[in-house]
This record gives sequence, structure tokens and C-alpha cells, in this order.
Amino acid sequence: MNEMNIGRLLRSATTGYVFGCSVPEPEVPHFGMFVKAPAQRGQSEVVGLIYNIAIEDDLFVRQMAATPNLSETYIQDQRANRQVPIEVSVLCVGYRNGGQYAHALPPQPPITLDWINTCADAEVRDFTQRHDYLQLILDAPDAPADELIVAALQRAVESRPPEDRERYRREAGRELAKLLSRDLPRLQRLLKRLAP
Amino acid sequence: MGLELNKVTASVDALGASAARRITDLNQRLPAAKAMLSAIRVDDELMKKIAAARAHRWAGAIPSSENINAVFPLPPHPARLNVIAADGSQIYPDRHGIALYYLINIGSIVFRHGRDEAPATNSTPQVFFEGDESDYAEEAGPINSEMVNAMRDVRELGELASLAVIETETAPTVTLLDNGLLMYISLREHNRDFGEGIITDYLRHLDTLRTCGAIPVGIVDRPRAANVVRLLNLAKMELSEITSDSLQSTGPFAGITDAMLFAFLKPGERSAMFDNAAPDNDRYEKKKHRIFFFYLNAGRPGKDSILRVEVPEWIATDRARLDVAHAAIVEQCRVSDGFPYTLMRAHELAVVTAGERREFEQMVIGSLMRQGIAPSVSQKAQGKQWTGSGKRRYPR
Amino acid sequence: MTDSELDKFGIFKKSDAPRDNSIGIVIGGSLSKGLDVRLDFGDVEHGVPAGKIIEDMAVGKYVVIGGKSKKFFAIVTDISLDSNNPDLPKAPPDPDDTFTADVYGSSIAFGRLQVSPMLLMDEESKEPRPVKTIPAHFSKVYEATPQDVNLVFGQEDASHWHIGSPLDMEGVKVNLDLKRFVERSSGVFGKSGTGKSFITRTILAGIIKAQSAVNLIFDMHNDYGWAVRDEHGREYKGLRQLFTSGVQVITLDPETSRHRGSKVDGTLQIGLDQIEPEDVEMLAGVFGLSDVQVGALYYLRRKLGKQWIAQLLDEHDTAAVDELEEAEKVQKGTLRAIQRKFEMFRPDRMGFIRNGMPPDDMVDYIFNALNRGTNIVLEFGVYGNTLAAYVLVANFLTRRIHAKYVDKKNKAAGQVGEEPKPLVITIEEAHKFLDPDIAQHTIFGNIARELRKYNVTLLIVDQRPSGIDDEVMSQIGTRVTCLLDNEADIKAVFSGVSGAGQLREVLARLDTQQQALILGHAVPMPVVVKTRDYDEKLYEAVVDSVGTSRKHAERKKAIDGEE
Repeated sequence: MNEMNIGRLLRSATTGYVFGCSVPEPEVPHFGMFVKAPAQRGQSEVVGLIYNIAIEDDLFVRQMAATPNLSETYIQDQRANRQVPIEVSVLCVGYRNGGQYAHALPPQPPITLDWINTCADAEVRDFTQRHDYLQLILDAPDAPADELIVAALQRAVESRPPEDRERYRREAGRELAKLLSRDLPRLQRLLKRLAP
Repeated sequence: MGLELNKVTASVDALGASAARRITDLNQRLPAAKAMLSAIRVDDELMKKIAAARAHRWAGAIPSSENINAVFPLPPHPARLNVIAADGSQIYPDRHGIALYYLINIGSIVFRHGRDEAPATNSTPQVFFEGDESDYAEEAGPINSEMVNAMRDVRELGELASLAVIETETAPTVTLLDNGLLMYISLREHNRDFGEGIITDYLRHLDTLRTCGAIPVGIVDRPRAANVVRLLNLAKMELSEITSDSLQSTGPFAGITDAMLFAFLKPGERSAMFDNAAPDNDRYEKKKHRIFFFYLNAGRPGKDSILRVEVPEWIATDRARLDVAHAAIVEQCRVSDGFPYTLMRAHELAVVTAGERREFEQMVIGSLMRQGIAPSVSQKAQGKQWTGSGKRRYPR
Repeated sequence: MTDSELDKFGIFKKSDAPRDNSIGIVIGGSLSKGLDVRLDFGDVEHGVPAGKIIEDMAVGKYVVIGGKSKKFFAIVTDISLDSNNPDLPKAPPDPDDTFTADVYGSSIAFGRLQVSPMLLMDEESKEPRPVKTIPAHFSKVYEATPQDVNLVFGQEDASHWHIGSPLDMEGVKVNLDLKRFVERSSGVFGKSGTGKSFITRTILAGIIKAQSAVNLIFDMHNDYGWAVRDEHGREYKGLRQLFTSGVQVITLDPETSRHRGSKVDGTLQIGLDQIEPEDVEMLAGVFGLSDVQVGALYYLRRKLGKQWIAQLLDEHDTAAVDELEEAEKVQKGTLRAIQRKFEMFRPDRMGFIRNGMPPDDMVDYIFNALNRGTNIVLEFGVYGNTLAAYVLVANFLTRRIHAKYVDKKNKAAGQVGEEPKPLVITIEEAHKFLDPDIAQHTIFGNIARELRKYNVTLLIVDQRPSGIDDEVMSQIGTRVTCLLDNEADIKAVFSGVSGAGQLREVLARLDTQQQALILGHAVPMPVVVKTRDYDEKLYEAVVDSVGTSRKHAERKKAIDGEE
């Protein structure tokens, strides 16, 4: 996957941000995707994981949902043209300052209406070389941590060349085991889903 | 704490009681009005009365060839039809603001019935400011809200006209305006020239619509008009009684609106067509665009929605195209509960939210600063910005 | 995708990071009870699947612990499984879920070692020293490399004899310090069939080759003389064959020796008149002599003189015995019992026993041979099966030769003669001689206790070390122990060795053949060896030093055409 604009920031905090985007493409945005947003006037880049995609309704849509024989034109209009944004919540898991990625909360969150971009494969690979960000996911109060970890790790695996994937999977598994060695049932569930 | 609600409870109670009394009163008088609608005879005498009244700038309804109490059922909807809607919104000039400017944003949607593709939507903002050479700004003097509204209305119709030229080539095309087609311009004396310009452009757009074969329709939601009620009142009067003063009120039907009168329409049905006697219509007549109107129940069983629909004469007299408009409006309203879908969408596309307005102001301020101007916002405006903005935080 | 392509993406490849060959870290323990080592997790990327480190371990293996300034050598004494989570045994991964098992094995479940620190090397001293402290927490633990082990066991040289290799280190030689080996009594233990005699022969060959001592070997089962056959019928060279000169075989049973094609250099005969009560006393256990009966022996000797046994056994002239009976100095039953038991000393039953005195005094012969540096293998032939004969002969000869050593040593101390050559006496079934009941007052007990005061030490070969007197055991300097499974025997082997308790697991896990735990005086630290093959290579190694004469002889044959 290459880098692409997928929306603009609506609101943000150090721990996460919400961006809006129009109708979702089949591929973007999706749960567990790595995205990035500029911060500190472009000095740094806040890397996050999409953990929630909310498509809000309004009276308009509710009314239409109850209308019989709805022609496709209306549906397409709602999906393609409505300016009601899809709200995408992102959990901050690190940032890039210069060439270096840090797995820590960013010094400053991105600013309203900043462009949100997807991370290209190479960036995902770079970012996921280490696994310290997993702790940030586990600590996140709002995000469904286990689901997000599985999705993020799958994404990290896919970003790697096939011959490198097994090694990476195992490495990540080990890291999880370290973090969750006290909670074996949870660890086992996660590992089952991470298994090839 | 601004409004101390406990201090207004008594007034609210009184208000409620008054409204209830008014409704009871109206309901008592409405049957008489309805009876009058059925009883009225369109004859020479009535036409004489109308002629007399029109001399006093009477704004009543003139019966068309259709019986005034006639009811027209819902005609079939064509398989293929284009519906174009346009709506506008604006940022009014603010004399407390950082700079004198205003903005008009026109949203439009082209809805192609019978084609399973997303409608084409568009939104076109335009910024006007002091020293700008465009349009009417130069001779307008200090611009005011009425002028901005008029400019917006013209642009709405203009947008419809330009889109219709293209869309009419593929299928019958209904254009919808969220307003009566008979534009109401309240302008002060010194803006007469400005008003002339506006109306000239407006009529030119109607020309375009007629030429390209479009079906222009103006729709008024929750109409408060009483043109037909005036006609009823006029019919009751003796020719001799018709004076400028006596025409000011609707006599025994005071307070009753046309919509109340036509509340008997079942969903999908429309009333007879009427000519609007308002003197403003004369300008339209000169260009063969005299505006007619009828009422239409665009609701569903259990939830009526009486709309007032205005069309130019060349549609009012073309039953086939009138039926297309009728069917199109009802279909559009079916989806969005009593008001045309496309108009709602056009509004949505055009609307400038408070947040967007703030953003826009920030952009203006930024631009001024880059030019070395330190903009000063009046304290009053600043205060509004601070206190009025909602508090919203991540994540919710 | 190649590595360089990955580099382009800035991929940090873990395999680029140098991984040392450490296997774990020290997490606790003590000098007395040994150290606790947590083994590293598996690391598939480096060819170490989960569990491999554990499975590659073995008790008895060496590890090196890299302390801050010192390097410790330690021996693995126990191996166990552990995990980060006490619930793991209750919630093990699904057996089919190899991924989870893999991850667990490389992050939660790990192995643990008990290791016993033995030696210490610091930077200045090149020589390993015994440990007096332990490495710090979290010191890294490595499998000992051949270089490490070589450092400990030194190079093979004139006095260091290659005895075997540490487990899994074929190329490394464990060398026995022969000088130290003969300084004190030593033991070779192990249940029967574990190759005691092969190891003993290997050690003896080393001693002979290095000339660190002369040997007197009481060869009960004809294992050391000319040739030996193993259970598969393969023949190996005995010491006499290995060392063309310097080893003599004296037999008690010339007929059998001839039969077996052994070359013998003499025949031992013992005259009845030579036998003293002290020579017989040790047979009390074998004969079942009571204390009273033993006392009677001394009485008989005093009354009857040199020919006391002859008279006891004389059926025709019973006068002397009858007289004793009448005098009632000795109870009749006692005498009859002694007579009955002494029946086996009749020359017709024991071929090496003569009436009167033998023609040659073999005691002198042997003593002189030993003093010349000639090693003596005393082959028992068929009499090896008769414990009484073995005990009698060993006791008889040892007492006399020891006495001569004492004499010579005393003279040397008084500047009257030269030091007797250090002597190692090899006895089998040693517990018969060193039984706690008799060890106090037998010659073997004395030799073991007096250390090398008179230049005589024992090499005891035994399958039941628990039957040997504790005091004697504690004096054993070097213990070479093959597999033992009797708890009492294992305990006995470690008696008097500090901190040896941890080695018990090691001992109990030895292979049944060709493996031995060596500890004590002659090795810098306990070591489990796969003992050296007793084969052509060993033959050649022996020849290398002593073989100058052999080479000379071959040269004569090949070049000078001599026969």
C-alpha cells in the first residue's frame, strides 16, 4: 500500500485523534490501519492506529432507512455525496521525529484539519521493527486493545516480504507473551489469532 | 447563567393558552372557509370583483381554467427523469467584523432518476468584498442582508438554469427551488437600480429554463400564504365594498391560510392551479413568465405535508409537464418525509455552519496578517465567538 | 527479497545483531549448594527452537560463567523446567497449536540448570584455581568450549595422561595428572560390566608409560597381563604386550596361563611354612572365623612354630595337635573348625602352595623387580575364582613388600640407601580387604591411611564402594567412577568430597559403558568423560615414549635384517 490522503483531522489529543473522511473505499480506512498526521508544524509525524470508524446517522438517513422502494440513486447520493463525515478514531502509538520512530505519545497532537495519510508499507515496516507500541495499545482505555493488536500485527506482517513474515510473527508473539505473561488465557487467544 | 427559566414560566403558560385559543378559534371558522371554496362560482361577477381588487394591488388568487375546488390525483412518475435542485446560503456582511465582506455559497444536486449512479453534487462559494468589481457591488452602496439574499436567490436560479441546459438533453428535467418562484424583493428606494438588475437577471434565467425545456418549480414548505383565502373573502364581498382598506384583511377568514384550506388534500393529490394576482407578477408577465401556484399534499398517510408549488405560466398551462412536476415532487418527498429530497440535499451542500464560518474567518484573518494588517475584531464579536462555541473534546 | 534490498527499506534484521553463544544467566544460588541458571529462551531465527537449549544440555556438561573479572568453570548437576507464570502447567497451549507453543517456549517457558562451580580463572593467573566465591547475579553462562576445557585440563605431556573426553567434546582431552594420581590412593568404582577394568588398564598403562610409579597388580580375573577379551570376544593387548620391557607377569597358575597363550615371567609359589597368622587373619571374613578362632591362630603359631599349618593339616602325625587338645589350651571344636577351614591350603587343592618352603623366594624377586622399575602383574589364573586364594596371596605379598618398603624408606631417611620407587598396588574386590570390621588392622587399611609415607599407595577397584571403610574412602585421592546405581555406593563415592552432593545426579545418569566421573586429586575439577578407546591409538601412544627400544628393535629388523 502506498501513502495516500484519507481525511482531515477533526479533533485531537495527545493520546489520539479523530479525523473525518468521506465515503470509505473498500480498502481505506480500515480498522487497525496505520495512519499518520503531521504535528509541530511538520517537525514530527504522529503515527496512530485506526481503532474505530463511526458512520454517524442523521434524521435524513433514518427517514430514508424507513422508506420503501428506495431507488439506488438516493442510496448512492447518501454514500457518495453526503458531507456528513465518517468519523475515524485513531489511537496514537508513536511519532517520528526526523528519521527516528519513537513508540511513545507524541509531544504535540496534530492540529484541526491537518491531512491524515495512510502509512506506506515501508513506513509500517520501519515503525513495527520494535514492539514497544503494543504496550500503548494495551493501555488504551477506549480502544478494543486485543482486536487492535491483532489487526495491527497482521498489517505489520503483511507489510513484510513473505520470507520474513514467519520470523516477524514469532517475534511479535514473544513480545506479547512478555507483556501478557500474567494473563495466559488472554495471551493464548491473541496468539491463536496471530498464528499463520 | 443567562436566561433564568423560573422567571418566564408564567409568560410561557400565558403563551400556550393564547395559542390554544387561537387554534380553537381557527378550527371553528375553517369549515365556513371550506364551504365557501366549494360554493364559489367563477363567473363574470367574480372576475369583475377581481379586476376591481387588482386595481388596489390585491394579492389574491385568480382562478385558472381548473375548478377552484378541483383535486388532481398523483400522476405516474416517468421512468427516467432528472431533478435538479439548488439552494444557497451566505455569510452576511458584519459591521462588527474584521473586514467588510460577505459570502454566498450555492449548493446544487443533479438527481437522475432511473440511473443507478450517485447524483452529481456541487457547491460553489463566492466571496465578495469592498473594492471588488464583480456584479452589483459597485453601485450597491453599503450592502445589507436583503441585498445578499436577493443575490443569493438569483444565483440559485442561475445555477439551476445552467445545469438544466445540459440535463434537458437526456431526459425531462424538473428544477427545484426552495422558495416561491415569484421573488420577493424588499429593497429601499436608493437600491432600485440594484433591484432592477436582480430581477432582470432572474427573468433571464427563467428564459433559459424555458428555452431548454426544463420544468422549473418553486416549493414553499409550510406556506403561510393566503392568496386563495383572499379570493374567498373577495367572493363574499359586494363589488361596492371593494376598497383599498377592505382588502387589507380577509374578513371572516382572518388568520386562515391556504394550507389550512387545502388540508383536505390526500397524500399525492394537488389542488387546482391559481394565478397569483400580486402586482410583482406583472414584471414576470411581461417576459411571459407569469407565476402560477397550486397546493400539494406531499406527505404520507398519517403525516400530511401541504406544500405550495409555484410554476411559470408555460408550465401551468402544459398539463403533461405539470403532471411530471407533480409526480416528481411527490416522489422526492416520499424519501425525505414531506419535503423534496434534492432540496434538502442542496441545502446541505450549501449551508455554511458556524464552525465553517469561524474557520473562514480565521482564513481571512490569516490573509490580512500576511498583508501586514493587524485585524481588530470588535469586542462584541469576539465575545460571541468565545461564548457561543460548543465545547467538544476528543474522543467525543 | 535479498538482504541488501531489505537494507534499502531500513529493515532492522535481527539476525544481523551478533548473538553470543550464551545459554543463560545466573539468577541465584550459593557456593555450597550450587548456582541457579536460567536458560535462555528459544530463538528459532538462530537455529535454536524452543526447548533446544534444554534438550542439548546434559548433567556432567561444563559451563563457563563469565563473571565481571573472573571466569568460572562449573559442571551441570541438574536440569529442570520452569516458567514465568505459575499457571502455565494448568493452561498449557493446545498441542496442535505449534505457533503458541513456539511462542511460549521462547518467552514464558524456560529451562533451569543447577551448576556447581568448580574452578576460577582470573585475568592475571593463567592456572585455574578452586572456587572460593561465586559469580555475580545475571552473569552470562556459556557452554564450555573445547578451548575452555583444554585450559582446565592442560596439555597431554609426560605426566599428563589422556584418559578420555568430556561429554560432547570428542576433540578435547581430559588428562590425568599421574604424579598426583599416584601420590595418594585412588579408586576405580562402578557396577560390574561398566568397564572398570578397561579404565583401570588405561590408567595403569599411563602410569607405566610415564614411569610415575611402579605397579604391583593383583590381577584377579587375568585382565592386565598378556591379553584380554571383551564380552564380544575381541582381544585387546594387556600390559605385558604393550610394554615389551618393564612389565612382568607372575602367575599362580602356569598351566592356565600357558593355555591362554600368555607370556609369563615367573611363577609364584607360597610355602606353608611361610604363612603367618597375620596372613590368614584377613580371611576371617571369607572363612567365617570367629574372634576366638582368630585368637587361636596366634596361639597355634606360637606353640607349633613355622610348621603350624602343616601340622594342623597332617592327617598321619596328629601328635602336636592332640597334645594341644589335651592341654585344653584350645577348645576341641575350635581346633577342628580351623582344621576344616584350612583344608583349602592343602597343596593338592591350591596348586601354588607348597609344603615347607618354595624353591625361590618370590617376595624378594618381586621386591627387587619393583625396585628396578619393573611392573608386576600377578596373574591368578583359575585361583582368581577363589576369593580366599586372592585375599591370601594379596595380603601375603603386600605385607612383606610393604615391610621391605618401610625398611628401605627408613634407611633412605637415615641416608643409608636410596628412596624406594613409588609403588601402586592394584587390588580388586577391594572391599574384601577394606571392610570396616578389618580395615583398622590390615595392611591395606594401613597403606590407605598412611598416605605415601612409605611411597606405597593403592589403586582399588571395586563395585561396592559402600563396603569399604569410611575412613579409607575419605583418604582416596582420585575417584574414577563408572555408573553406580546403589544409593549407598553413590554416597560412599562422594564421602569426604566437599560439595559433591550436587554431583550425585551426574553419577546416576552415566551411560553404562565407557563413561566415568573423575574427581579428586588428579583432575582440576570433576569431569564426566567418555573414556578413551582402548585401541591401536592407545597402543601407539604408549609406544611413543617407551617405544624407543621397540623402534630400535624394528629398525634392526627392517634395516639391519636382524631377527
